[in-house]
Amino acid sequence: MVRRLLNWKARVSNWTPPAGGAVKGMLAALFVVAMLASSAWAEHFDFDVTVTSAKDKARSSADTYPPPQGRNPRPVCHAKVGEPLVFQFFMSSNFPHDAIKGVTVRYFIVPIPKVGSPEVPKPGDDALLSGNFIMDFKPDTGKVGLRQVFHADKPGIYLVRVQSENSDSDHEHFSALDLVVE
Amino acid sequence: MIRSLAPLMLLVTLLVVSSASAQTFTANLEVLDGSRHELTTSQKAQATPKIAAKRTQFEVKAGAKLQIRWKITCISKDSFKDVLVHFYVVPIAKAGQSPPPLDPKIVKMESAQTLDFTNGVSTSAELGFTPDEPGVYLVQIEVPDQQMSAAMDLTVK
Repeated sequence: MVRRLLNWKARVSNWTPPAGGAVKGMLAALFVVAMLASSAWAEHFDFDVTVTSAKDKARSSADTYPPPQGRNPRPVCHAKVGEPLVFQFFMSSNFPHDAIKGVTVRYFIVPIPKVGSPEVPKPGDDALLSGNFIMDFKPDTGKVGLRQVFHADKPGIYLVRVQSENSDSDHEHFSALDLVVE
Repeated sequence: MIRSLAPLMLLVTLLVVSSASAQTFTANLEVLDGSRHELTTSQKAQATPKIAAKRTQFEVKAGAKLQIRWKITCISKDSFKDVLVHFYVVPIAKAGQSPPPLDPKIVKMESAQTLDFTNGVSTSAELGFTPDEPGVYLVQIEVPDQQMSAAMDLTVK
């Protein structure tokens, strides 16, 4: 996955026409891989979320809420205070029927009391990372991916989570893992 | 006099109309540091620019918790399928430098989306970013297929 991403990034960086088509092909391949790698089949969205430290890497796939903490146990990534970490996610729609418009894709990394903690804090000033995208999803073309370098200044347990909001459904989808910083 | 200027005026008019009709997407890019902020809008990019365009500048302190907001909107009457929207923050040697190769070892933040656009359809983002190291960073949102981008130089002291 990482190698494919690097390849994708290299192509994006040289985007003189018609590089866009190659980039989109690579993105499509990325999402096929993410979909096949997903252990839990999601009704609307596929996720592939990773956090990578110098000596560890954790990956999570799709879950649903409610309940807020979902149904699957969260993978755990271990890291050291201050070391560079890489957060990366890909999300795509597998809803086969219609476009889902104006979906918010929210991501955040926030402190939690313990590994596997069921509460999902809202991202505030103590968030290591947070952000959101608003976009339309169609079965074949709605895709979003993010890669960001970050670090934790303090030891602790952090929830890493990417979730859908406003997807016009009685439930939403997310992917989450725990980050343990020592 | 007027007769001699007529061809020139016609040419200018044609160029303006041509330039306007070529614009298919618009982009707004804003970087916020608390109550301070800087905003820039899209321009038609050159595939291989001969002169680096002068970019909007914004200066912050290292460790500042920034918010980066952008919005891409389709203003064309045409439909576009599977459009790539690409965003990144990468260190550069000096303000105004052309975008460097996006080596993942140096890129601080990067996103990619693919989606369909029709007239009025937009996508937007609000992304947190904390630059820890002093230097100059290029913040850019672009639609490569349309050679459209909005960019800002972020100087971190």
